[in-house]
Amino acid sequence: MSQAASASAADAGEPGALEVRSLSVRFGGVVALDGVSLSVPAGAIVGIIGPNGAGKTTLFNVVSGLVDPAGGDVTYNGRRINGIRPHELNRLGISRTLQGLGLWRALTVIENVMIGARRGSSPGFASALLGLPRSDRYEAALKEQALAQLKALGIEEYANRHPGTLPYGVQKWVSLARALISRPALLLLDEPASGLSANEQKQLIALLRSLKERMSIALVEHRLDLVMSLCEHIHVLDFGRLIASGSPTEIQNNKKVTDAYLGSELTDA
Amino acid sequence: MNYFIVLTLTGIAAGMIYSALALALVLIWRATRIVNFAQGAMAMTTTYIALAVIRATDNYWLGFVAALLAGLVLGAIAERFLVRWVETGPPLNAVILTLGLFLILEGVVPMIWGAQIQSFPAPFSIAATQVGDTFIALSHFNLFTIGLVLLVMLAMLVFFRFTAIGLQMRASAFAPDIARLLGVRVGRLLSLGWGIASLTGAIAGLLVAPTLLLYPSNMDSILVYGFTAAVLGGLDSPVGALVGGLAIGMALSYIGGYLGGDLESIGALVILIGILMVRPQGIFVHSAERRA
Repeated sequence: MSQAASASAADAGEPGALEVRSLSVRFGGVVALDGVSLSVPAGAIVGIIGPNGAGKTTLFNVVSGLVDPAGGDVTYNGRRINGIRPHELNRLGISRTLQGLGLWRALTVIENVMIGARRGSSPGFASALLGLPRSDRYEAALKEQALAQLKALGIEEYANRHPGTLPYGVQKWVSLARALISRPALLLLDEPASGLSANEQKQLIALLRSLKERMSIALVEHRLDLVMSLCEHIHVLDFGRLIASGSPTEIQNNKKVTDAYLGSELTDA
Repeated sequence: MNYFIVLTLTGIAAGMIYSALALALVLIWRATRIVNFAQGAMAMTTTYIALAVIRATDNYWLGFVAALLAGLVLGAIAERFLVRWVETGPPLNAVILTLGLFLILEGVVPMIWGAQIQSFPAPFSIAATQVGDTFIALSHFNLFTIGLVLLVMLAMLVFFRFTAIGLQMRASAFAPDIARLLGVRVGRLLSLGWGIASLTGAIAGLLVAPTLLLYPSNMDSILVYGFTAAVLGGLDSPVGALVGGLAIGMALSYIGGYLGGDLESIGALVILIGILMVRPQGIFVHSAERRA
């Protein structure tokens, strides 16, 4: 792997800024996102909420290069990153977690976390194959780094277990460790609180607050309580459109938002 | 020496070669879910390259290294420029593509080097080893074969278990999309995987040629044996490839020894059909884990 991109600006440890301008996504005839503009300023924790099918995950998918937008722009630290390819996120310092966790059940916890490490400093394939010392040192450092990340989240005791054998809450922590090991400047969390107990949610909130110094965080959730207590700024999506933006108090008092949520609860029932 | 033991030992030596080819098939199957029917033809091609280098330099080991490098490059090129186009399509496309590559190689090689049967040097004696007054059925070359294939297996194990790139390759095989999101260059790893696999195949080619001689279709039956071994091992398991190869090697050795050499190829096909009917998932696959 080339080392050219390793010295990107994101390595400085500064939080990154994300901006999305009039973004549209269509799947066949279905409009998944319709002219959405929103921003995640550097160092902020921003919530993106909305009923099921509002386009929250689609928005993340565009930012991570899994879905091509039909129109609009995505900029990261002032640089246009439309049509970015997923593997480039890691070097830009963008990490993302997945709704389904997406852990490798055939790999151990520590191996899962090691794969998330920042690329660019790894020795070439040849040294790995020939077992050169440089490669050995790299493996050892990588393992140490992953273990430190697990320790930071208090789950180092599970390092050699397989994710499938662990409680869901711990698996969630593993997926967070995998996203954090690259020391991202921007963290995209897809439903980080789903499936967590009340106690675990409190731990999550404390953890995310502690990360704020080093990274900007955007989280997609449909649980309002968590978002309201954690985020400084909230964007509300409904049927692919941005229907409101503002502080938690502003959002709570917004008629459109309560309508969207009540409406969705009625149709859910 | 007891005839049964002789058959067993020669079966193990032959089985090691089937194991190597089976491992090549397994590596590609794990990485891309494709059975590479051109594996044997690719190994034949790299063996011709080895022969050309050996003739030019008069040094077996230079030819040996040339074959391995040629295998690495040929596999990576095949993945990058051919297989890449059919990887996302229906599985049948990939089957036809590898069959096409097989036919092309068996057509092009005789255009370059001729179709006649050629002898291929062995680095060690292929005559039975004598210890004191007794002959052991295994030649020095057989011992070299067994040692080399075991070494390759061990190297693969270390590579996949203990290196970061090996880890990324395992992860990519299970969930390429998630691996990509985490910064893994999945495409490059696929090329590398095909390269490593056909390097392993090239070793099988080098080990076959001294006893079975070298001609454009010399690997055809070996591919059938290797494929049978891989299926027996579950197509997904390197250890299964080793055990499957040994089992097929010994089974064919007994069939050849007790029932007649003509029956070996038929024996392999009967075993293959038998496995597919009785235990199509092979003996070494935990299918539940695979669905992760």
